[in-house]
Amino acid sequence: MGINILLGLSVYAILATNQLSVGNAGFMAIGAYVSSFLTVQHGWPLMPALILGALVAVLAGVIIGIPSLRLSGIYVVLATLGFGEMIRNFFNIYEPLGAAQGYRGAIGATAGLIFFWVGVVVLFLWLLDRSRLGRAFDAIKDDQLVARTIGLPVAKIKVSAFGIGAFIAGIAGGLYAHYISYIEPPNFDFVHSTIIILFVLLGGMETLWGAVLGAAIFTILPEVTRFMKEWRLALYGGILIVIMILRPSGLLRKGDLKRMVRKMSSKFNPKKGEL
Amino acid sequence: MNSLEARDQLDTSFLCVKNLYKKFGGLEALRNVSFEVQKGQVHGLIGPNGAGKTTLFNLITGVLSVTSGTIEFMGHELTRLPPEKITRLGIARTFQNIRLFDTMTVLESIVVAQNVRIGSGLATMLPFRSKKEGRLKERAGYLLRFFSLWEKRDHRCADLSYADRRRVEIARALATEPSLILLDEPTAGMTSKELEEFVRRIDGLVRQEGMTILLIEHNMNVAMGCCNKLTVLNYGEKIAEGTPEEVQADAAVIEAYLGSPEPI
Repeated sequence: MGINILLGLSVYAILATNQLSVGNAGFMAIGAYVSSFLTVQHGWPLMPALILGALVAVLAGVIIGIPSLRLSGIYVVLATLGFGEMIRNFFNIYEPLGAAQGYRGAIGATAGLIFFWVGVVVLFLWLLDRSRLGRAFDAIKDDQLVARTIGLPVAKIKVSAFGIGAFIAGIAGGLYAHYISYIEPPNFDFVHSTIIILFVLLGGMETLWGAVLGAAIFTILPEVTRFMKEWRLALYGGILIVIMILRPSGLLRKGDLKRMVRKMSSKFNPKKGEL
Repeated sequence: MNSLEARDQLDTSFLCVKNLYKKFGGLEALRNVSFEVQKGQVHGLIGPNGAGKTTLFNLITGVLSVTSGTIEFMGHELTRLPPEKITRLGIARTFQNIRLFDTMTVLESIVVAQNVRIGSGLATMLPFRSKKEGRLKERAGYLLRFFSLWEKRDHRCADLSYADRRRVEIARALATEPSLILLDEPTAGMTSKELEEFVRRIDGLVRQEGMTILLIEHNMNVAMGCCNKLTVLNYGEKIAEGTPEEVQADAAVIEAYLGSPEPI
């Protein structure tokens, strides 16, 4: 669940500048393979391996982010889709990292460590959302041309959003590898990328809590609906369609949590409340 | 010697547009347009629909690229610069069809426009507040009060009334701390009371802040009342220039607006 939350947040970070990345499983793969290689082959401790793996993913993120600047909308989707598949295929044929047989032996990630990283990333994105950079993200999302005419370096900001998203996905990949202990290329195909995007679509793309909520729901749902067997996927599709019709911007919208908290507090001391 | 001096003066003028051409495919949207804007003036740009006024704005602000010709602003050549660099040099603008950041609040819109002066790097995530941040905050408050938006600072831009949306757009442009501001039909759709207030504010900007304004205006009362100088465009060409009185009396202008006096 923690890993899914991280992945959801990695998509959210890039989506915050209006770029939909379908390649996040690729960033995840880079983080997973690089960190496993470092801990298994070179005996690195887990933390630095995780971070280096994520930094390599950032490099990939910047490399895909720069050409994406010239693209928009659906074309960013296609470019990142191609990129993700490229990465997966690379690990599928690269012998030193096990190729199609996968790579095993990475250990050491506990649930506690995963939630530690969820905490770090949530704190980071929360601070980001309150900062001038967060406002710049909003501006680019709303109207890119106007964002430029008020002097925002849109290109730089969009690439850094890709970098931030890739870092989070890379960390998630590293944690995943060291939690499951066995990774193989099919773990990181575009179906996985798509599911990550669904977390955000379902939970709400306007706020980071939406991504958290979406990932949590999508992790719990398979467990609760286990009795439905193969029909589960059809159910997910149905849920998604219903939500897109009823709440096109996802379950949680900007300001929803604030309003909820206010309502709660006004219930406890009604004099202060607006009711 | 005399002509050299004259050229020197031309080079040091505030905004200087020279021999500007813009072609869209086979259409010449602007043909050999030259004019100058002096510092501290309100310079009006008028002309019938399709004359090329907004295109000219888009060229000055780098939104569109120039086909040929030069645009100089305080000694900087603008024609090869991207919009964000031009804004940093001190030119801000508004749009004919108001373009606000609809998901953001009024205050947020002002704050994000100040980023050009303070940067929007990761460092702004830290809780630490610099002196500059304090000054910008004060400035944002001042701008909101100047445009009577202070009470509405936490409203989402999408929820504002039409006149307020116009005000927010101008306030946002001013938040980038420009020395020249381009207003594209800022009075479109305003009531006469709002018009009066608008003219007063423009006056205040020029007097208190030393702002220079380039204004596209269809309302002739506003154009004649606000502007020190008018440039008239028609079919992509400059057809007249001068004080409002001179332009009003110009035969070419009257023809462009009303048609030729003797119908064929």
